[in-house]
Amino acid sequence: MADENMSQEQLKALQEKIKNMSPEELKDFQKKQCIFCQIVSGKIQAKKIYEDEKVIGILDINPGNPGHTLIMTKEHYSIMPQLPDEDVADVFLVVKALSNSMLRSIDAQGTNIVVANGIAAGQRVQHFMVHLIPRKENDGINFVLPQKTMNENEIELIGSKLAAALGGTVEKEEPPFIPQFAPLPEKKINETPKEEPPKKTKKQAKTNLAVDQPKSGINLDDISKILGVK
Amino acid sequence: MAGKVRENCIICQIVGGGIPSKKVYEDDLTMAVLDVNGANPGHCFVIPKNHYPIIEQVPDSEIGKMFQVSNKISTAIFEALGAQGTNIFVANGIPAGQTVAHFMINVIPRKENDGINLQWQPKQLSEEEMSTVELKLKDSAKNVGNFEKEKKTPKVSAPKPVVLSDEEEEYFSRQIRRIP
Repeated sequence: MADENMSQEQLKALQEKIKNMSPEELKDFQKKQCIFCQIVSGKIQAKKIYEDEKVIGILDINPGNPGHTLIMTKEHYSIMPQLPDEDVADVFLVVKALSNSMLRSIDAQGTNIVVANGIAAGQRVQHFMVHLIPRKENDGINFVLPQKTMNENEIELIGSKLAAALGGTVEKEEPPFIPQFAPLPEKKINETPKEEPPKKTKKQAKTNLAVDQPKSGINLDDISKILGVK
Repeated sequence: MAGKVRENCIICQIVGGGIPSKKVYEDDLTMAVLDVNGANPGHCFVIPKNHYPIIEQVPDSEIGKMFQVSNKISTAIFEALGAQGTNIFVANGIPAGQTVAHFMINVIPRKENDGINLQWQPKQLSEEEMSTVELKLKDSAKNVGNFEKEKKTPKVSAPKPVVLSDEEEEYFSRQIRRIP
């Protein structure tokens, strides 16, 4: 990376070199320059408290509080939006578990989870990481999140932009959508029960008929005579 | 009490529609809402639909999805709003600055000199202090792993989650200063 002792010419040459790199070459170059990639590979020592195939957790050497842990992917990503979904889940499952263990093992009264994407957000190193900071009352950390008000137009505009970018739509207060063919199924529903009973009666009539059938060969007058009906 | 819905929880009321909100994302377990009194225009919070006070109570099967949604919102904030940066911020517990007793992930668009401060002054620890905390955390992290990414029937050996007492929850509701 740019060294303070570098001459202007050397710096220019380096900048030119970076400019002409393919994305793969650039990632490789970033990896070589990245302190945290060297921690992952073991070239630089760190106080490791967790490690699995993809994720590593180390103590921050400039902690906001004792126990302040950095959880990161072993793979080099500059910012969180570059992470595949699967890796996001893997990282934050570890964050949850370590947050949980901080409450027990070092008597933390709470935890903060902070990710900074970009210099404007406070990012200082070019390797994606999650800060997990154990908290106690009056520990000297004062995060400031001001409250800003937005007008109706801003809410509508920003909400729609975000929802569209996320692949959905923002709900608007509109009259409920009534499909044009709505009356048709309604009619059908009403008709079916009407049709049903006659069918049944016909069927019943048929069955009755069938039952009557053997009787139909018998002379009713004979039966009447037997029964003494006049 | 974790899970399901809490009547006196403002976030549960947002989920249920009792309090109107500007939704930017929704699925069966998760919802993302624009914070109309946010730290910057575009500030969103991602919430589980079930009531969980802090992250420890959110099941593993929901954690991944919630942070994936947060990451997508963060990306959308870069692309659609032209932010210079984004923060993902979670406060677990009152000493950490939590004001509402329903777990949420804040996704905050950033610009230079926007009045937000999520920085800290580094504390100077002795080598001994560092080693002590390292050993304690390392020891308790031994059991970390084998996450239940997919929802399964709960294991008997699963650690008991820290549940806030009703008093603590009441304290939370009294502390609510921000109405999203």
